[in-house]
Amino acid sequence: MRFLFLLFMLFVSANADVYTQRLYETILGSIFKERPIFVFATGDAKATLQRSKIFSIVADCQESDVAILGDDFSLEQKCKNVPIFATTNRSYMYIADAFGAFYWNKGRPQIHFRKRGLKMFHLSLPHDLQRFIDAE
Amino acid sequence: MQNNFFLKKSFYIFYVTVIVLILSAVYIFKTFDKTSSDIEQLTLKSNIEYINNIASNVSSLINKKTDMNLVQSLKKSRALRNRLQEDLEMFQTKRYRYVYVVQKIPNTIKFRFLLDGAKKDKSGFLESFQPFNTQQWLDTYTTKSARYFSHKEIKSLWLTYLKPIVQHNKVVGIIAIDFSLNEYNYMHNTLNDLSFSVKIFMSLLLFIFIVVLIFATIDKKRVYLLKKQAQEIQDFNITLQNKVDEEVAKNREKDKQILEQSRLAQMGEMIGMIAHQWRQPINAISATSIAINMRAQMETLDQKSAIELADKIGELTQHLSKTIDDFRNFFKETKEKQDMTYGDLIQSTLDIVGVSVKNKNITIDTDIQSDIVFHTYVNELKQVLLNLIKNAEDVLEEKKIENAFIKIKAVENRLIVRDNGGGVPEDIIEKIFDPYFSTKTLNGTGLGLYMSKTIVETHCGGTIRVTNDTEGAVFCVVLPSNK
Ligand SMILES: Nc1ncnc2c1ncn2[C@@H]1O[C@H](COP(=O)(O)OP(=O)(O)O)[C@@H](O)[C@H]1O
Ligand SMILES: [Mg+2]
Repeated sequence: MRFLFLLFMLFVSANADVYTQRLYETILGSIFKERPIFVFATGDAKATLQRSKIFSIVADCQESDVAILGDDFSLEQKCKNVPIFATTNRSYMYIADAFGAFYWNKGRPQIHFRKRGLKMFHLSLPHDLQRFIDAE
Repeated sequence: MQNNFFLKKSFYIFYVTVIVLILSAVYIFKTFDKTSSDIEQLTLKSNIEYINNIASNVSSLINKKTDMNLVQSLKKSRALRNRLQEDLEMFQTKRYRYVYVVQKIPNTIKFRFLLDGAKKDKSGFLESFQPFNTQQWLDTYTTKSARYFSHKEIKSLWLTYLKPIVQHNKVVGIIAIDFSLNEYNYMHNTLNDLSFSVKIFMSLLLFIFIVVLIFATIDKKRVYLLKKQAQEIQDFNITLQNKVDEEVAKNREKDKQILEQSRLAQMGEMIGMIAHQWRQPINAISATSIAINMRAQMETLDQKSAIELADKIGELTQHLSKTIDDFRNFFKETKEKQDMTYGDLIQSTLDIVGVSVKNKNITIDTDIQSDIVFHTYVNELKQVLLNLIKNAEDVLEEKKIENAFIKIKAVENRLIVRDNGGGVPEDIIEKIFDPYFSTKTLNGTGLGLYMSKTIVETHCGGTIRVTNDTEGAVFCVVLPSNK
């Protein structure tokens, strides 16, 4: 319920950036238990995550717990054996191993999880998020 | 009582006015709220109607171009998709932010795009879509009817309008339009602000009115109190005046009594004076009767001398009778003013008292340099002069002064009586006009000068005062000459 409310806030808020940050914290924070969570990120996502306390940006993708990739999917090569979380629909489609994605479409937050990716890296979702798992 | 009633009435009016004002304020607020919500509803309604038109146009456009099977046609022809998307783009403006068509993925509760009118970041064909308020979207499928919703909990900036595309009596997709509520919100906020201002203004007005009324009431109370005080002072003044009048009346009564007393005292003195006046004529009568007696014995009483002697006795008797009359007149109370000069006054007084004074070896000098005619209480003034003469006589007799004299002088409106009795001692000179003040152990009443002062000053409107000169006391009476 808290999660839904957060989504709702995201939808209606003009200050979407802060809520994007919160959403990353909620989603990734509930999947990765270690603190801080070492992330490899680029672009907008990097700027957003830098403001968060639970994330720590790393320069080398191999040292990260999770890689957050946007449309620059060429970076996928650098992130072999690292769970990938996509920030656009395109990258989510392109990177078949990505375990999930979060992006905005028509002002609505779009959240996706893929069984394949989750299994590959032994990631488990909290109950709240399970309804976002894509059908095969 | 009247004032009290007025106060109560004004309080009554005050309360009624306040209640009426509050009621009308409430009415105005209600009307305003209703009107503003009517305006909002109307605006929303016209907006919805407009969107409805757009959606209908989009719907008929799609129906016209897709040979009765939307999804199949779109799947087959990329060109058709592009053409339709271009059409949708035309409807998309700043206000109609997103215009797109989605389809429920069969056998799930998830959605995917069929067409997207977005100009950039266009969603792909069959790309998944997670709407918000999913239930509303699902309901559009089941009810086959258009709907719109915003987010009631929080003032939403967006309103989503959903219209089902029906083919073969089946919903094959939903036309979704995200509509900006910015203008609507702006209006809503403006109306709210206005309503707030109106409320503040009305409250302020009410407040001011109440304050003014309260002050007016307080002021009225104050004025009432002032009036009451003024009334009390007036009442007090009246009672004071009454008291003063009472006292004055009492004083008059006392004066009357004192005058009575002094008159009685003077009566006593008069008897002495009459005795003096009568001594000489009675002696003469006695001598005449002896003469008659002797002539009769010597038989020398002829008719002529008998008549002469009888006439003499008659004359003397006449004189006695006249003296009595004079005294009677002197002490008769005349209520009316009469004309007199100081000469008349002095003459008639000396007629009464002259003999008795002269018998005591006191010279009486008169010097009249006044012919003013006073219209005044003559008899009372005679008593004053009599008093002054008697007092002088008393002091001269007591001190056994040699060459004693009393000088009576009238100059214009002044009457001066002086003696050579040594004057009034300085330590009592202030008190000699007080009632019952006397230095005489025998026969002193202390009323003579008090009575004289009363007559001169109160009755006749003049003044009387005393000074001492080198020889004795000087009493000066001044009468108002123009009366
Ligand atoms: N001519 C005067 N010379 C001196 N003392 C006087 C004279 N006239 C009045 N007095 C004083 O004033 C007093 C008051 O006089 P008055 O009022 O006539 O009362 P009374 O003659 O009965 O004493 C006298 O007792 C006397 O002492
Ligand atoms: Mg006297």
